[in-house]
Amino acid sequence: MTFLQPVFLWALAGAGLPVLLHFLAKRKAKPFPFSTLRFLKISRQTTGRLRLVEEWLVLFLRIIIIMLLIFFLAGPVSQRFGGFLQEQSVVLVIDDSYSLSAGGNDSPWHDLQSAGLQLFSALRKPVRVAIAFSSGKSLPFTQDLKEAETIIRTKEVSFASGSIQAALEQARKLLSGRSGEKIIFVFSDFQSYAWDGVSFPETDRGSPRIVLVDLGRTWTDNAGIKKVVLLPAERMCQCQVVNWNGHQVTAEVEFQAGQTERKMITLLPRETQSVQFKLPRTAGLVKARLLRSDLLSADNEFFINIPSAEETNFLLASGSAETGRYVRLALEASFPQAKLEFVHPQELGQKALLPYRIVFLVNAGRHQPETIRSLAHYLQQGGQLVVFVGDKDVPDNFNSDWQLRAEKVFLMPARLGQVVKFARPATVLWGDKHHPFFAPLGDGLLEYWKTVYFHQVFQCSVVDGQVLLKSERDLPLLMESRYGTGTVVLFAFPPDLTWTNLPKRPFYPVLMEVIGQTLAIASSPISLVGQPIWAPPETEFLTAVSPDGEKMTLQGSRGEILKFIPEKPGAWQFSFVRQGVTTFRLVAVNLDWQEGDLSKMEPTRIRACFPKAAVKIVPVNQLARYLKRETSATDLSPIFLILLLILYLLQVGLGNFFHWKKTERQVSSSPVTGEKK
Amino acid sequence: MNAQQRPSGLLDPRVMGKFSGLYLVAKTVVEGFISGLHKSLYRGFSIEFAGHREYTAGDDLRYLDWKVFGRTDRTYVRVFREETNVKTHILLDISRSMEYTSGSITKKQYGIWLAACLSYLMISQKDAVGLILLDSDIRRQIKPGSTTVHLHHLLSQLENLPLGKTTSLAAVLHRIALNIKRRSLIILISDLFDEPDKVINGLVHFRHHHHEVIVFQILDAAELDFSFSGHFQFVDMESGEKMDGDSLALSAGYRQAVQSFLRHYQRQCSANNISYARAVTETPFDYFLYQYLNLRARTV
Repeated sequence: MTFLQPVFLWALAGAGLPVLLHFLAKRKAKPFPFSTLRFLKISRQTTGRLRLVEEWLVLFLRIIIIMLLIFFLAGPVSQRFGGFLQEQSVVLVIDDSYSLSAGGNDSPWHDLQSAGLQLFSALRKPVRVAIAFSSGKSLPFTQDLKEAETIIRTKEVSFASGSIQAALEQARKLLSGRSGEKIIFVFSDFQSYAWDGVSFPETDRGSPRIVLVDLGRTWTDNAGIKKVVLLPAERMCQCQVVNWNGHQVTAEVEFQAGQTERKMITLLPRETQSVQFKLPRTAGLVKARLLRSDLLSADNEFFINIPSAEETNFLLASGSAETGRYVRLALEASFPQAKLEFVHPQELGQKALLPYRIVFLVNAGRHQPETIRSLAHYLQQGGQLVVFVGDKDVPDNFNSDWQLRAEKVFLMPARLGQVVKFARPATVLWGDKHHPFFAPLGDGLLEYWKTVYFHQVFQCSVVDGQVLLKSERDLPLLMESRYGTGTVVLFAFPPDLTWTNLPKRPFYPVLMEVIGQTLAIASSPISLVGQPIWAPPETEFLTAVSPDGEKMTLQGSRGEILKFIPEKPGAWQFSFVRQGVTTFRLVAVNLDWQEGDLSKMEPTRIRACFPKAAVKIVPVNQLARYLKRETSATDLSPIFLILLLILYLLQVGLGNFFHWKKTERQVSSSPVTGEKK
Repeated sequence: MNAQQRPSGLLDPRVMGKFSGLYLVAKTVVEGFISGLHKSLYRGFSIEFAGHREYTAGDDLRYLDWKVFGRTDRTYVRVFREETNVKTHILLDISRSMEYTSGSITKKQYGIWLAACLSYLMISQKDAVGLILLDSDIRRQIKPGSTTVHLHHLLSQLENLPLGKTTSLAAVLHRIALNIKRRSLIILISDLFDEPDKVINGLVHFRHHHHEVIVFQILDAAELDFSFSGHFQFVDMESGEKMDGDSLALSAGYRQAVQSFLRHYQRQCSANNISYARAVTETPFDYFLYQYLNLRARTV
């Protein structure tokens, strides 16, 4: 129930008037000298309680009458929402993730568009509407419902999975500081993975009403390609296929890399299996497809770009000629076609790093803050960094330099401690044989390493990353960590004969080749829809060509780093113009594999996402009825008027009856005359 | 009783209040009232039958005993003995509750006039009359006397009454009963707003000493009807205790309690051979006295 003139409701404070008058009248009772209170006390004992009940009954009726009168004047209408209040703010939180396109023409997205339009027609002016999409787009509050309608009608489902939490946060911000009635309509298919961990933030002025429009379907027939992993050491590709169904699926997997290869696969319910294909010798775009028609087609394809050897550029920054020499020799032997550039560590900050597949830092010593920032950006964009620490590295400086204070992130996999010198040369005692660096060695990993010994290594005090190799005393020798989409590999020793005999062992160039190949392929730009592709610093023009051939150009300004967010899966061509030089990059953009999981979250768990708000879950097919029920306004004034009259008459009747009863008692028994007056 | 139902020619207490002296009030009431009364009633208080003697010339034929003459054929006259030894004690309650009035005359004033009239009546019959003023204690005591000088003294005491306190009749009545040795007539004028059983016990104490007891209960009409309307803070005139209440709501219960209270006195007095008469301050004195004496003449 709402009111056309809610300002009258302030008068409700006057409902306490009868009570106030009652007590005031009691307080102002005139003193009345009387010969004795003996009989009055007896009278009170016998009739006082009944009289009290009568008194309060009449009082209660008077209060109700006053309240009804105020409600009547305020113009009561039976409507849950719909614009009768002066201020009404409605935010539509729309899950526009790709899963809503499941089913083609009969998709939840179409249902969402119809439901959104239904909602707009149900809302009555004046109302302010805002929209927050899970993909990040939003429409600020507007009173122009046509504009909002157009957005809903023309918006297409996003290939990016987006963030429901971010959209709800956006809705909270939009409603923040607003008074009046606040409603959030959330349109979503309530995918378990997308809603897991979502928590609606508190608003500053009371929680809004939340209506969850459930677009999810009961049928969830879907399977897709999870990812394609390159195993360069084995010259293989591993294609991982996931079955989201509750039943077994048998399908063909197609691998297009120059020539097409197909393999059959059978997957149990909700199982992930891998199919292996040969890694093509020629570089270029590789496409894997699951040949099966299901609800979601986009997740049946996966793209990967295999870079050519010519594209493999290494940058080596070494603080000493001796240690740098062993890295250079190993790379030149392992990658004869690769371009290898050298730079002094102090000049690294001025170098554009993005064109390099791998950057090697060998015994580099201290770094300027801009060098660290440049390296961080490089890593964020998928760069690969291999660090050998050495004589020039001081633990305190190292630990301080690699700390990104603004982001509170330590870039290296571990913090350095003091140098541990072994009384007798130490050997490798443990290695992660499953890691791609050592996978080709398999169980013979330690056999390869048994001829390698160490005189001294840095003790790594705090290890945040993954340890790949350990020496005696459980000291980590090789560690790896991720930052952004890039990788940092840290050796706790330099390739220096005073530290280790590794550079002299035949195993060393092989190890460097595997590490180089693995990292080079890992640096092959694979991105997800919605993730930004960053241009190198000082890029003047960025041109992106979509898989459909659509061309978009961005112009950069001084000090700005250009970025482009691809919105479709497929192979994207990028060209960056910098100081008159154009560089090209092919980026494989894929769908977030989890988007294929169409299983819905349970209603109780959905409600738990909104712990402090009134939540109503409405299936989309019942939305029209719900809106009709909630927004239809019925004038309740006549009902209030009738109630008012009835209660008034009742009050008058009861008042008179009680008075008559009292006077009747009085008349019926006069002890003076013994007669009725 | 209201003014319309009162017999015409009777003395309205409100008019009596305009008289300046008690003597005049008593004289007016008693003389006017006696002149309208039958002689036999007048003598009802103090004349007692003594015996017969033979008729001699000059005797009043009214006293000739015709029954004896019929039986014996002799003329005898009845001889009466004047009760010169009858003493009357008037006990007047002067407690604060007696100060209450809903009109112009308080119960106390009514009681004073009643005491004055009775004193005048008694002394004019040569009876001795004494006065005791009481509330929770004996405030003043005047021994019985039968002279006109005594009457004036008595009336002057009634005109200058001390200020009364709370009522505690029972204890005082016991004390008085112990002090009065000789058989007497005890007249109690009070509103009797005390514990009824205790008061009755006090009165019964007089009866044990063979005193004749007459109780005049003086009440205000409002105390019986309780015909007020409105919300009041009732203040007890004796104790000062306060009580809030709606008079209309309390009235029915009040009247029931008062009726029960009065009935109780009436029954207990009757059971203990105590003459009981209730006067409302609106009732004319002569009418009240007439009614009472008429009733007494028929019962004694």
